[in-house]
Amino acid sequence: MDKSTIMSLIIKNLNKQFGENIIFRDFNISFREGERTCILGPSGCGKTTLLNIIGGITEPDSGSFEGFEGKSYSYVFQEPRLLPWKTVTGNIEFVLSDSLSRSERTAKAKELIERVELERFASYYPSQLSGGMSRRVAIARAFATDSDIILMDEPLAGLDTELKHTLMQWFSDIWKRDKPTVLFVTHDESEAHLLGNEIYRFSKAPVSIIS
Amino acid sequence: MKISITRNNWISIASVVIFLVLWKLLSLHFHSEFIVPSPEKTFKALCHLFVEKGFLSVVGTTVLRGVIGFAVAAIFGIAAGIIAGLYSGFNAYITPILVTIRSIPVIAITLLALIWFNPYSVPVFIGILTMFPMVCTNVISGMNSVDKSLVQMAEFYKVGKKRIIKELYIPAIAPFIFSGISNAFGIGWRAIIVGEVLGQPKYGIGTNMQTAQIFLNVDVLIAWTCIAVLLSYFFEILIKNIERHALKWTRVRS
Repeated sequence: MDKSTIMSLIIKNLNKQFGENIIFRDFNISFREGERTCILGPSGCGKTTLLNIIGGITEPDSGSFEGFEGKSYSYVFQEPRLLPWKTVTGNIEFVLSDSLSRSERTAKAKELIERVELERFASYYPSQLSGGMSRRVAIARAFATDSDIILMDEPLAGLDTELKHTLMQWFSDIWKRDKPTVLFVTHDESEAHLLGNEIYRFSKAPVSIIS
Repeated sequence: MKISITRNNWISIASVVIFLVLWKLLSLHFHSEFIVPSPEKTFKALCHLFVEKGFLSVVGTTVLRGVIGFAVAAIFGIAAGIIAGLYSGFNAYITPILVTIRSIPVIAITLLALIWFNPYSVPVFIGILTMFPMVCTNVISGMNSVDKSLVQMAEFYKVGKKRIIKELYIPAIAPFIFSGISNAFGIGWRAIIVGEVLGQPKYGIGTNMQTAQIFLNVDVLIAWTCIAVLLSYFFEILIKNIERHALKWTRVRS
């Protein structure tokens, strides 16, 4: 069965507030599995909070979650968050499971580095990479763990338009292979349209879905 | 190979030459080997020490004490610093202990150690107590400066605690560890030699300094001091080289 036809990730009655600042009040949203869903909205509206709640980084005040049980996650943070003392290969190996042998880890990292076309830079440290290369390593790292859901928090913010387009095209290509569910947060309309199969437009907090 | 001498090298050389000239002038002024021996007489005494029977035993024993004291202080200092960085409760527990140890005068620790331990262990004990708080304090500072977003990333990807410590925290705090080790070694040598002076173990640079002082062999006393300085300098260079190798990633740039 085509998993993209099922709205299988459902959040109901989500509530979250930070102090007096209400972010979500009885908020409902659902996502299709195996699709790339973009969440579009102004800065500070709660997009990142939603990703953090889904990823387990932030605890919700209340709410029910269906379809998220037993799922594995990857997170492409706004900044690449690469370990500066590890090479490109080392950074990808770092998130791979302890249950893999050393040679399996190296092989997996090598395969991902080839997929992101950074073979020549495998032994480079993050300080030797350009901004675009660092983002590609961070995305490769997200694919390293074969996660069911990839959370992406404005991973292209701050890059120039040409590089953004290149990275988005490249991301779409590697996504096609395993088609994990992607939840992609941005405040850039063009990014959302280029990358998302589905787009949710959020209002300012407390969040509601505009379209 | 062409060796180029920079302006700063010349200034350093001039500093040493001026020091030697002043020393010579002082020795001429006092005109007594029992007060200020001349640089050349001291140099002769230094050469004589190198060929003296038992020289290696004396220096080797002091170095061994320094290395043992340093190893114990470094292992416990790094471990305690990491635990304090990870658990605020342990940090609150260890902070007053570190402040207290740092505040106790070395001589007070030495006098107590002379009562509690045999003369052979006293310098090592003093070395440990002097170096431990320096290493530990630096490691705690390093732990507090670790980029929390990297830790969050590692925890999100469910990297095991052991690997987070080994592959994230330790490399992140390595510059602080090396800085702590370097400072601790500098102070530690002095403390160990003070321990030897007062503890009088059979072998030790401090023991020989005390003997030279009793017999008013001021040239020999200064010669042993020079050896202590050379040892300290040697270990500082060694630590710097290890640091340079271990932190090579900090020097790579695009």
